[in-house]
Amino acid sequence: MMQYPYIPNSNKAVRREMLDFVGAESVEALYSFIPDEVRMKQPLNLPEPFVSEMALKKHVNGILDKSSSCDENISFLGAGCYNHHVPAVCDEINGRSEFLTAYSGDTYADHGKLQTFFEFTSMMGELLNMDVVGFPTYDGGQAASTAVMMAHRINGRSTVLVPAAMNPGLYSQLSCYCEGINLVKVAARPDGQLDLEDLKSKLHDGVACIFIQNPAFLGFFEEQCGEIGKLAHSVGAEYIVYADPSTLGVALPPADYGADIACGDIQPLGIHMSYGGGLGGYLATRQEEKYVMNYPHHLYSIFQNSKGQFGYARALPERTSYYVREKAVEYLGTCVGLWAVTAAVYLAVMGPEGMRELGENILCKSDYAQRTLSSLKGVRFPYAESRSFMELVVNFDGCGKTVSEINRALLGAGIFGGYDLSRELPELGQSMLVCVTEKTELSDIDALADALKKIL
Amino acid sequence: MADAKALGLIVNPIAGMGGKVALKGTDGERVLAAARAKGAVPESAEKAERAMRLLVPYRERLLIRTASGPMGEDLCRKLSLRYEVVYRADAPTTPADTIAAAAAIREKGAALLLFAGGDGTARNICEAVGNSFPVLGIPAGVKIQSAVFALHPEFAGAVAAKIAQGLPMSMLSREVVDLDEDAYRTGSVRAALFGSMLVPDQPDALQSMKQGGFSSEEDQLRGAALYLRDHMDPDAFYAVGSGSTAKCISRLLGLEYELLGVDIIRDGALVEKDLTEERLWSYAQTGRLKIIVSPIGGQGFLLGRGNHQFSARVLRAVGKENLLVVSGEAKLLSLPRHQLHVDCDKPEICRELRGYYQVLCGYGRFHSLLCED
Amino acid sequence: MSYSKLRNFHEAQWDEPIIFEQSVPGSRGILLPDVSGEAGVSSGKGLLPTTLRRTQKPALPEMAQPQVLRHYLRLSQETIGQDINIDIGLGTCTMKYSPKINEQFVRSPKFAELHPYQEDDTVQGILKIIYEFEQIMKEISGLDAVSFQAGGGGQGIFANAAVLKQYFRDRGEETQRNQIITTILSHPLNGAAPATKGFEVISLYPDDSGYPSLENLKAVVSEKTAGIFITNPEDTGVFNPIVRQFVDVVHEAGGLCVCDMADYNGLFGLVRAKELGADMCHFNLHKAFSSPHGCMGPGCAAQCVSAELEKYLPRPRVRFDGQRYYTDYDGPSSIGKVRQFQGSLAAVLRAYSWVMSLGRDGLKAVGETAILNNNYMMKRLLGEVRGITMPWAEEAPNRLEQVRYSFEKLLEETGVGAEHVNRHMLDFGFQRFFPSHHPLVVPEPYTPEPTESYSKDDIDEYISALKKISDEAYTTPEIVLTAPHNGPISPLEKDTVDSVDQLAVTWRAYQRQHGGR
Repeated sequence: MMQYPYIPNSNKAVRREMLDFVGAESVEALYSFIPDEVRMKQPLNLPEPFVSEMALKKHVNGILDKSSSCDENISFLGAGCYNHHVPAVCDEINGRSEFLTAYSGDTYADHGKLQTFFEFTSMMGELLNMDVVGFPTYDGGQAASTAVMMAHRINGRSTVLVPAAMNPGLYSQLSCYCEGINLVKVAARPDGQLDLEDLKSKLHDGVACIFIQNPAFLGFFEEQCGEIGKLAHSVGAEYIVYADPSTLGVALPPADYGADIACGDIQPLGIHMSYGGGLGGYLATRQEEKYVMNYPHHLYSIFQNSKGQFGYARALPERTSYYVREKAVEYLGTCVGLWAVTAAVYLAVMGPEGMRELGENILCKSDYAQRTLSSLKGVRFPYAESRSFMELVVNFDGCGKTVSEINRALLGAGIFGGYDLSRELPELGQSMLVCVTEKTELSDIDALADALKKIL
Repeated sequence: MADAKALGLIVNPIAGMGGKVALKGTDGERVLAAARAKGAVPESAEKAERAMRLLVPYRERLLIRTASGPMGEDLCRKLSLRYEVVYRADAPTTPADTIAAAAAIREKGAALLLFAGGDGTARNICEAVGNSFPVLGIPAGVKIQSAVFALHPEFAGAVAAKIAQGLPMSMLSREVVDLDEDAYRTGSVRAALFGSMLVPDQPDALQSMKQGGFSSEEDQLRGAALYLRDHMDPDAFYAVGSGSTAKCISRLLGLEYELLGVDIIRDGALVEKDLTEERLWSYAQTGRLKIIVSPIGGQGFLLGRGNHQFSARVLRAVGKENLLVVSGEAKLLSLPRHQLHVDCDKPEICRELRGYYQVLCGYGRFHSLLCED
Repeated sequence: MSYSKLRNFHEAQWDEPIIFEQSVPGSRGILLPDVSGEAGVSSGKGLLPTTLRRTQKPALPEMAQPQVLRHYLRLSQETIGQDINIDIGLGTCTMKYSPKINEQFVRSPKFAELHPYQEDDTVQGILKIIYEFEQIMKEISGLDAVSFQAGGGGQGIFANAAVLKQYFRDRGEETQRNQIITTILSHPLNGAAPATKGFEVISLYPDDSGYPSLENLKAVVSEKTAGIFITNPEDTGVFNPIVRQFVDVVHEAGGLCVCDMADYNGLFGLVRAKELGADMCHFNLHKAFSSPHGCMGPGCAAQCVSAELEKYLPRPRVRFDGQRYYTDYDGPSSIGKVRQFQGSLAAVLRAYSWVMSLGRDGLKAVGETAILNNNYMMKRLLGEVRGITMPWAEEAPNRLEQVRYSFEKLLEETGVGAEHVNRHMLDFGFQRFFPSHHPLVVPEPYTPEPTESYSKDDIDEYISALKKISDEAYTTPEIVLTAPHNGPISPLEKDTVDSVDQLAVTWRAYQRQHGGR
């Protein structure tokens, strides 16, 4: 056997010593009890390895180099994953070996990790104006799915009202996860706002919850969010709001307009996009038993010992599948702990003023984008009457070109055009969802307008 | 240092004396005299010492509330544990002393009442403190059928040591059963359910350390009851066995029930309460009888312990496939080798009832365990 | 008695205040440019609908950057990651070395700054990684198609349960086949995730061999059986030698077999899902495949299925037309999405690089070394550490890559139980150990896993600590009972809440309960 750098006991002499100690001729003798019928009959057929680190680095970087990133181009992509600025301290902390390679240690050995988790939930609690925030889950879609199942368990009802133009990926996730739930779509008015008449016609005492995104998937604020909550409560349904935390330095948190459960994605909080790998879901509620006992996730509570020191431990664990297996509330597994650490650092470094500046910066740019692009001929903004945050729908039906064609042409100018809505929401025609963040320069928006002028 | 933690201790000094001389328990003064005559010596004191020894490291922060002389005082003095005598008994002690001592400890307060004895002692304690005061038995009697005892004396001590350190411990309700000793001495085993007491969740000590005041068992039984309700055959008669677990279905349906007896329900309604074997047999003959039972914690007897109405002829008529078993998960884990048992008056019927049972532990959640006789 | 190599360790104890207590109003950690003037807008906030304007700013801490950095660096030092300790204790978690070179790859802007909706032509690199690693996982599992969308082991099991459901839905048997079978000693999520997908769950208890009897399985399979979710070896390290018969019984009853490969580290190049007869399986890339655990994620499950089930996998899939990699969203039978986009790809990238650094022989060396390390440790522990026993030792004496031991004897003899030993491990510089998944079928459990990353000296040092603790339990138990002594905080007298009112998962809730707000 060769000496493998990652395998200290591939050392021949040490191996012999250990085998002698256990009284085995070879390692094969130690697993000789595995029956032939389940053993592989031939060695694994795998590519030849790059055993030196130098060769490996060259190989992997050689592959990665075939991609061209948002750093090297001007990107207007969003639709659930956002190109925000990642403060350097976020990467510095989440790259620390201690955090990066920790796992399920608890109160004592991983005190620092638990304090960081507690600070994450605490800062999210401030942002959301809610007292209970769970340990983050896989992604916003998972948080939304659990929010819906929470409502279902709380009131035993099975109909869930969702906006017809909600994020289709999220809708797909809800359909896959929410077993026994009937998702009913509520139509939008021409300006994009939810059609409350349609909503009322679908509202009855079998409705478990009303779910909205705010900002909506198509980028604008749902301005009737207070009324929607009242309607939900009028039939005893829960009100779930999926909110982008990057709006909350300037926008009202869902709890303030009646939401019972808030959920969403924490990727905007200092986490790189990583081709969609950087997502993480948050879930928050009021501190009432019906909500708390329906969280499937860890809840780390703070305690003080007689020396006055704070410590943290998993509270009320008998809700979770770790403790009662299939008798639990849903299931709980390894999710995105490192993103909780990262988001904590992000919120601490941003502070209230940073979050306000972030929100205002983005609001200015989406306004600028709409004004700038409206100079283009044949281009329409179907939801211009609604106020956008970061994303706006641009319709090209009057240009005789598909979004796909336009985006391919934009690519030639080093621009990633907006997300092509025509595939999953064909009723919107040839529309793209243009996303601007604090990283987008005003000149980038000008460049997009110039490029489009040439293409159209 | 936090305030001293109070624990209770009651040693039944005569418990266990019958065992070595094959007298099957020491209930009744006549039997006790016979035991003494046969040369029996008290061994409950020794068992209690094995448990209490583990508390010695915490003596600084402990106060033991106990009864005089051999009922606990002597042992505390021997181990130099701080103690307070809250009840004085005359020698020889009687069950009335156990009851009075337990009541006094309850009155004064204790984080846990340890008692050394057997099923008879447990019955007496139960009479005094009921189902809301934490207790744990140090096994020292001949008959240990009740699920309120630790597996070994040291286990009881270890649980108490955790409590002494202020470590949290969740509590479970567990049955107190006792054999009819007169019948036992003639070779026939008959147990009856006397009630239940609150004991530390000790078969799963780590889990208990991490659990708060919530009991997931309650949720599990509610789920099981909902499942039973949703899957009930409206034409069948359901004989609900004794004990609080089996009665989960009666509670869910809002029906009256006899905790220690067998009731018949059908299509969501109570048909008859507290049946005799004769009455049950009449339902069994309809061919539409199903039975809902729960194993006794710590022992695993589905039948033959407190369910005597389920006689051999009733069980034969009903058959294994119509025997529905319900339990919380913790109770199943407390069973030795995770096995269930049946016991009835006809060995051949017991044999027919052997095999695997899918025990209902929640809504559509089953644990498959082996049942042997 | 002397103990070689035991450290005089104390974990960092910074006594670091909660971040809110360090807030200095007006301080800033980072600045963003004000673009309102340049953008021709009077104020950003004015662009918000009036009804949605936040009037009270969020009470986040206000701190300068060095103070934020220092705070979290200190908290990192009060955390014991795998990199800085001999992390043998956390069994079933496969705590192995995560090569640093791989961190460079995932932090490269060529990966970190990719948006998931970029045109395929601009992401050929990451698509190639996904595609090539799928080919590798096909070979390692012996199955025919792989999805990496699930963001962890639990979600992997859920995704498999969703495929199972969809498979029977397509066959019109969804209502009838509504039960799955698992074992009480498999990872809890093998029951919990299918239950979340709406299945009834039957859990088999082990007999004296440490795994359930075939009779037990036969007693529960029926026309209601949708499938069996099994782990082999289970978390106990016991390998079920008649697993093939289990699979056959379920197949004959019309059900499918789903394997949880969470405890796979010993089996590289030895046993595959295919030979086990499985129709589906999942691997945790953050376990056997070296991606770091990251404070409990992000992880990634490689969900592997047979050719017949490929159409049910989450979309999009990555395909290769011989020249170009592309994303394929088409899939009318797909279960839909379990997670957005392509999953947590950093784990895929690291796992690809890890496999490419080892190759066939290296993977075999990983598995064999894991088995050797564990057997060496097992013989030493059982022979030298008083109070430790191994359940089912008589009928099942062999273990592969990990062992579930019991400290029941130690507890009975000394009053020192597994949790006490566990807390004391920290005093010698070790992360806590993993006791067991629930329920605790084995009393006072302890489940270490000495993966291939640990040297003989590492294992010896770890055993020395256990020996020392056991000796203390028999001579001076109060030392063990009052541990940890050298941790970042002294023991909490109370670490559970008795009611929802006492819960405080946020600082605001804590302050409210203690009169601070």
